[in-house]
Amino acid sequence: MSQDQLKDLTEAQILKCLSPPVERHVIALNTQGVPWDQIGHLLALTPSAALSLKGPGWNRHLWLEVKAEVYSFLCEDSEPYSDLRSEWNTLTEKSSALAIASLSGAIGSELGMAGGVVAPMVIWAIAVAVRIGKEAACRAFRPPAVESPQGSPTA
Amino acid sequence: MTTVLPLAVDDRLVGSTLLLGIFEKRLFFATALHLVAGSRIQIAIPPHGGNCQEPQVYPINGTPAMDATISATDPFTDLAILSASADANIPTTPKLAPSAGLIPVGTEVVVLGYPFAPLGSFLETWTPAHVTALARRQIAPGLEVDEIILSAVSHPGASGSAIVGRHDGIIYGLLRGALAPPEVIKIGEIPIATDTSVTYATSAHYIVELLAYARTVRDSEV
Repeated sequence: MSQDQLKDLTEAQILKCLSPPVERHVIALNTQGVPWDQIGHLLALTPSAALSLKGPGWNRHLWLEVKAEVYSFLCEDSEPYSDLRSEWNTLTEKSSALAIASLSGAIGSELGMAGGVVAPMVIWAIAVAVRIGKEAACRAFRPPAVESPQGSPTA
Repeated sequence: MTTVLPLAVDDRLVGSTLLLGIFEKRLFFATALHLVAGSRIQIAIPPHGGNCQEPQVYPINGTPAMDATISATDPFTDLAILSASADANIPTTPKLAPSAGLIPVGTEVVVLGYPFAPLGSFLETWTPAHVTALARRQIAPGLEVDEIILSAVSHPGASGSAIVGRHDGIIYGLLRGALAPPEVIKIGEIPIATDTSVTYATSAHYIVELLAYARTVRDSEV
């Protein structure tokens, strides 16, 4: 938790990891004042919007799951990301694109999908975290506590 | 020639993917992003090799497949560019419509893809249809996506099919889904009662920019 994975990263640099059309659209939405959380939801919802899609099932809640994994990476000492945390500085020194790709791959692996599927949401979450700072990001990305059947909250 | 191949995710056939060409020993394909929600992505090579004019033997119990990676995505247009290593020679690559609105309502097109792929079918079909409307999907104020509406009936597995101009061979779109009632009866994960003749395709011009970007991305940065 003491490590700041966001130091030396800039929001513009991170957004460059998006494909150009997505970068343009995200910046446009942001400039119009669309809240960052809503932009994240749009990234997750839009592929399946408006239609009956006939694939194996797109996860419309992917933004919430990606945000929770980014929280786990940034704000906890969770085991799934321990290797990546220790390599993070080396990766960011090489290139932020490489670091983001590694994080997307690790988060995708946790969620059972290819890194490329979650990458736009991971990039957006990290860009937001760089903008608002790690502490604020950890507060904003913290998954809501879930009520257990006995009534005591669990994370 | 337009080549469309079956797409598998996590060892299950899910839909169709359009071959875009070979660049620096990497084959590039376009498909619908919503199809690739899994960890292992493969492109199958059925016996007819994606040449729809050839007789297609069926049933087949297995077919060679190549592993693919996601090189670029655009969630807003529901597009993904996939790449796979290959030494194949591709004689021709399809011509993609360079901008939206180049195909008038009423134009004859062909839907090339693998309907019922999720049921295990490798049968590629060439289905004539017409452009019945040009649509502009509004995602948020100022963010719109050009789409083509087709008279074709879309079946499970048709997502990722190429929409080809019948008389000019140009790719005008990539099929993504069908209009359906809000409450849809499903068998497992496969919706039924959605076989309306209002089928949506993303305009192919979005593929052009995404492919250009995908060609610059190294696999380690995907």
